[in-house]
Formats: sequence, structure tokens, C-alpha cells
Amino acid sequence: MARSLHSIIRKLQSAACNVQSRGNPQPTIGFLTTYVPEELFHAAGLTPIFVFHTPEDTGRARAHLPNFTCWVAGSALDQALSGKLDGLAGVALAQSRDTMQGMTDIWRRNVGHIPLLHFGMPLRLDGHAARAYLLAELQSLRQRIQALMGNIISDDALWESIVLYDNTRALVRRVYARAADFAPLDLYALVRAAFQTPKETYNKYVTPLLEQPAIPPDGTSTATSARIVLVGSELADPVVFEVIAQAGGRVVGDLLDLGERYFEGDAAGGSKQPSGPAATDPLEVLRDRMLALVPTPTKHHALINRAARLLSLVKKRSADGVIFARQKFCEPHGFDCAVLADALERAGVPHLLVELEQASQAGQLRTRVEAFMEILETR
Amino acid sequence: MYTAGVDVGAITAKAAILSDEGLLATALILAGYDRADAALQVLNQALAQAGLSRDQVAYLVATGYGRVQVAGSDRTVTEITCHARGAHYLCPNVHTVIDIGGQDSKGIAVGTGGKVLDFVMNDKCAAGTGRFLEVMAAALEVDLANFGQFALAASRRAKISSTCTVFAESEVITHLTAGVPRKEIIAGIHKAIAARVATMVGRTTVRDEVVLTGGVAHNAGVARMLEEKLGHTIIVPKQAQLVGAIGAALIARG
Repeated sequence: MARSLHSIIRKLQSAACNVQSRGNPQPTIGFLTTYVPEELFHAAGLTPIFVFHTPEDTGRARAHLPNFTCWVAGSALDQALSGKLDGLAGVALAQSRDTMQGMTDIWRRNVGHIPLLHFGMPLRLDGHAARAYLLAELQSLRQRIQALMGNIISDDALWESIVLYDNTRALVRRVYARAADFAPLDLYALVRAAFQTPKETYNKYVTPLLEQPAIPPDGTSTATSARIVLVGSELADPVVFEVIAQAGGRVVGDLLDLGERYFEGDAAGGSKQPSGPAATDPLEVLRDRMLALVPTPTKHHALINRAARLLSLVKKRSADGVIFARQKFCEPHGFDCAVLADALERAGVPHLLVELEQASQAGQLRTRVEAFMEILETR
Repeated sequence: MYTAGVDVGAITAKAAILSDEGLLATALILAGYDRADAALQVLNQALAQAGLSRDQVAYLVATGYGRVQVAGSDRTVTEITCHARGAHYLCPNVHTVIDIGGQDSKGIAVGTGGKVLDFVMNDKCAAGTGRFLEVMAAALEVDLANFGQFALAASRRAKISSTCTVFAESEVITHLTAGVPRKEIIAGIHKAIAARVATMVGRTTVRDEVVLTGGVAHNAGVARMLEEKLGHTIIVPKQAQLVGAIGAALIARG
């Protein structure tokens, strides 16, 4: 099984490389933010993939962004300016935070050869106004995708994509439900692949993996392995998973913007599209799912509380502690961390804050994580 | 039974040997660029002092930034856990450890039996570390060993507003050109480092007894100004620089 797991991970990684290669005949769209209706792009014949940050920095983006800007955004711009994203048919981003909002102007002025599809995402996710606003934005986005691709996105095609994506989401949720069975870097690879491989490929390889009754121990797991929940923004840097693994821990869940929350909830609510007179507009279905996700720190939902969700996850997965893996200069997560840490304190859940940089050094990070694990061991 | 702890830090490598009766021997050398060799040498020095051979040591725990480079260690443990344990051994009523080494500084809340309850560390910045003092001592042409005494001898403290090593150095030059006496500048430097460390340590709970460890603990000026900033008496054990290695040897004992 372990061999089969690694073989599947290799196949997924190879599929991700093929998608991003310039010779790929299937047009690919890159997305940069944590709210994107991937299904809408997929229904138009595009393969959506997330543009993760890379530790390489050619310095080109620095001419346009101040040094204290979120380097997740900076890296995407750097990759675009250095031609690494030239194979993409376009890039999509939501108004998820100020930096991304600013990026839209910078992108259009400086990376004009890669079309940018930008749409508004309400700050407050509950209420009638948010529903109406996001629906209008999705309708506009649909038209712009159609113009880009020169085709019509039919409702039928959109329903097919929604069902496909629902299947992927269900698979990733099953991966997370068994997260403790995977070595941290394997979990990282499986979840990251869900953002970077065509969903058809992902479903094909991961379905049989999860049908097996158990993931055999990989030799690093022990009954005393500390069970960690990660909190942060994206899933780009494996260094945190690496140091947790080295310290003998397991990642049993996360509240990463691009992590477990991203795969919450089915849009269609089942495996088939609704039919008959009550058939729903697929855009409304997409909208409702996006609005029902656990909000990222830049959004607000009166009924969905991030701290409550984190505490519930800690309890559900029997986590021993929480590690905040915060990207340096990410202020929304800095503010969020204070609120979540307070909730964890009151619940008696140990937590650790580590700051990540674009090219994270494992040295000091490792000392912090290991020391945290040592505290957990003695509790 | 004999156990050993080796602490390979940013600037020095330390070793401690424990017997069932207590601390048997210690050694300290500069770590240099070859950490693996420094670990071997410092352990051999401590063994020689104890009159033991390597195979008489039942268990060896490695700690410090170079802990993974200690050949033949049975286990690696972070310096945070080792400093707490070592400080508790030397000062059984310790509740807070402030460790200021060459590369970083840490605040550790210590519980029963020397357990770590919480810790804070500086970010990747030389301010608030021994390196800051080294750079400043060099800029002012004062032997590092006497740097703290210069600070204590000053009746006034020059204002060093920046805690960034690079910018603080330029502030020092500004003070020198303005004719501010050297010891007043040195006192200001110590006040700046104490403020930096106190702010960081304040993120955890500071409770008596507060023990200062690491190479900078031997600087009386830093200890005094930390006392002023924190409002707690600072205890500096004689073996302040060896606390990590002693803690490692204690952990090796089980």
C-alpha cells in the first residue's frame, strides 16, 4: 500500500507537470486566490490549477510591489514576469484581499499577454446582498470566460463539472478524515495534487487508493506521534510538513485557506444535478457553496465562526496541538491568529506560531516545532 | 551510570558528563566552522576531565543548533527543553529561563521538574543576541569580556533607539562624533538589548526565580538592565553557558 501510495503520488505529480507544460494541448487557467469557481472554467474546456508560490525569486516583481507585500502574490507576479506562466490561457483571481485587488491593475499593465479574469467576492458572506452580488459577479465571469474561449458554457456542461468537482471534494475530505494515517509529506502531496492536477485524473487515481481498508504504517507513525492541526493560508511550502514529520508528528487536519476548508461541502448536494421544474441555476449552486465555506480571515460570516470551527476540528481529530504557519507579512492571518490563539488558550489547547518566508529555512523552524512537540510529549 | 550532553551552539560547543552522584565534568570550546569536529572535541575534553572513555557513557543527548551533527548521539533534544531542565537542576525554584546565546534569545516558562510550559524565541535577527554585543564591542574597540563592566560604570545611558544591529551601529557612530563618552554609549547598548529581550520574554509569563543562561549571561550589564526592565531578580548560575549541555546530560539519564 505504501508503495502504491507513492506510485499514485508520483503519477499525480507527473500529471500536474504535464498540465503546466507548454506542449499541453488542453488550455489551462491559473488561479491565485482561495475563492474561485473552478467548475465554471472547467465547463468552458479549461483546466484550472492553482499557481502556488515558489522559493525562487528573480526579483522582477519587486519593481512593482513593496517588500512587505504578501510574497504569495509577489511570487505569482514574479513567475508571470519571468515567463513561467506563459503557457496559461489566463489567470483568475477573486477580490479576496487588498494585495490581490492591487495585483489586478499591476497584472493588466505588465503581464498583458496573460488575460486576467477578476471577479468580486463580497467581504460579508451572509445575507441577501452577498448572495445577489456574488451571483451577478459569477454571471459576468461566465460571459468573460465565454468570450475568452469563444464558446458557450451550457448549464449541462456546468452541471457535469460540478458533479466532477463534488467527487474530488469528497475524495479530499476522505483523505483528511484519514490524515493521521499518512506521513505528513504524503498528505501534503495528496492535497496539493488536488489543486494542480485535472480533477478527472485525480479522481481516477485517488478513488482506488481510498477504497483500501487501511493505510499501512509507514514506519514513522507511532501511537505517541503528536497529532497536529495546521492553521494558515496556503499549502505551498512543504517545510512545515517536513519538520513536523522529522519531529515525529502527524498532521491530522488543517484550517488552511487552501486546505481542508477549500474542499468543504458538495455544490450539487449529491452525485446528480437537480431535474424538473425545481431545477436550480448552477451558478446559484456554485455561489451558495462558496458563501458557505469557512471564511478566510479577510471575510466575515455571521454564522460561521473560525475559532469554533478550529476547536471542533481539534476535538474531532483528537489533536494534541495547533501550529499556526503564518506567511510573513500576511496581516489578515496575523490578526486572525490572535483571536484563534485566545480561543485555544481558553480551551486548554497548546499552540505554536511560526512565521514562514518565501524560502523558508528549516533550522530555526525545526527547533520551534521540535520544542513544541517536546512540550506535547510531557503533557 | 554516566551520561553525557553535548550542546553545539552558534558560537561555542559545550559538553557535560553526569554520574549518579551529579555533575562530573564540563568543557567548552569555540565551535568554529566544523560543527561535527567541535562536538567530538568538546566531548573528548569533558571525558578526559572526568577520566572516562566514550564507551563508559551509557547515553548521549545532543542539543543546540548543531545537534544533528553530533556523531554517536542516542537522541537529539532541542536546547529549549535542555535549558529548562538544566536550569531546574542548578536552580530548583526556577520558573523562567532567559537564554541569550550567540545567535538567538529565548524565554522559557518552566514548570514542575524543569518541564517546558511555553517558550518564545527571537526571529531571524541579530538584535537581542550575543552577536549584537560582539558587533558593538568591536565598533567601540572594547574587549567583549569587559563590555558589561563599562556599561555598569556609566552614570548616564546614551539613547540607542534602534534594536537593529546594523542601524544601532550607525547610531553609535553618531554618538561618537557628537562626543558622547564611550561608557555611556555602551550603557545605552546594554539598555537596548535588555529592552529587546524583555519585550520578547514578556510574551510568556515571567515568574520568579528568573535564571539567565547562555554566553551573554556572563555580561553583568545585560543582567542588571534586564532586572530593571523585568522587575525581577535575575539569577546567573556559575555554569550559565553550560546549562544546555547539563540539561542534555540530565535528559540522557532519563
